[in-house]
Amino acid sequence: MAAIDARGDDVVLKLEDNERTLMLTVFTDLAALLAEDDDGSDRPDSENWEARLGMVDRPRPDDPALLRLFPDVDPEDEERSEEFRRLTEFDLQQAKAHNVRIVLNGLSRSSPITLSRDEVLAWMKGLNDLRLVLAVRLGIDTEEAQEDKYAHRSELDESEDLTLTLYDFVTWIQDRLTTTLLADLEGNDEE
Amino acid sequence: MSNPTTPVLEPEVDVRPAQDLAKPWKTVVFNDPVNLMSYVSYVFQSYFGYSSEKAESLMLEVHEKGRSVVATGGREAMERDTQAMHEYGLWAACQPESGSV
Repeated sequence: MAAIDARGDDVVLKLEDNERTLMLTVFTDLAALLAEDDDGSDRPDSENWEARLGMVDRPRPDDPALLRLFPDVDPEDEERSEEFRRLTEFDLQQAKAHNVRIVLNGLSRSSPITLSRDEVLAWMKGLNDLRLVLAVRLGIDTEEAQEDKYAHRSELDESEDLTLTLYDFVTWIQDRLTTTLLADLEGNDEE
Repeated sequence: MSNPTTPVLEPEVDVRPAQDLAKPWKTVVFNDPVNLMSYVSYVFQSYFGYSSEKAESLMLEVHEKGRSVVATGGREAMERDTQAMHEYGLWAACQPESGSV
């Protein structure tokens, strides 16, 4: 059973072998999803500097999971959203990919995994992005849909049930890590 | 020291009207079933520097009303905030104050 404890400046995460292996698999998948173009091919590095300078048009993602990770800057203004995507989406993609690399780096260590506060923040963001993708895959787009999913859990097929279990597991880790960093902030408030 | 000729890139010229830059803009965060209440509150405190009380009340507004204006200001600042919210994975938008949301 996984456990999370704050220890001085570090946070210690204990994972069972099967939990760590599963997390490695899903975060490797997330890294691949973030590196993908809309046609599913990897973006060549030579295009990166042009993308960084906002010189490459970035199509609005067709995959609803990618659209949730990279939303329109204003759903009511298509033109501005398109321009904003061209100018900023590369940076956002790099930031998200960086967070996922930090998670994968932590998961590649043996348990218990000791994380610095900075690493914990990257983990929280990475776990959140993973949960956004899992939720889209599960069809959880509203609170009602989420309640419905849990209410009819016994009717889910095996793969969906496993995804929901994984979703609950990463939710638990993210919440525990968040609680740890929130306690830091509250500690600062009192000073 | 040698100074090789470097290619000069045409800077992107901002052609938006001046009043557009002065007009107040807002960063709006929308509700979704995924983001944890603890996480949203953490983001509002750590990114915007809001007190736990203010962060909590904005978070509850998002949760109960479906959206909340979490910051207002110039367009560039609000676009930066929105981009930051997207990095945290919150569903956010940058809109003119007069917008319908």
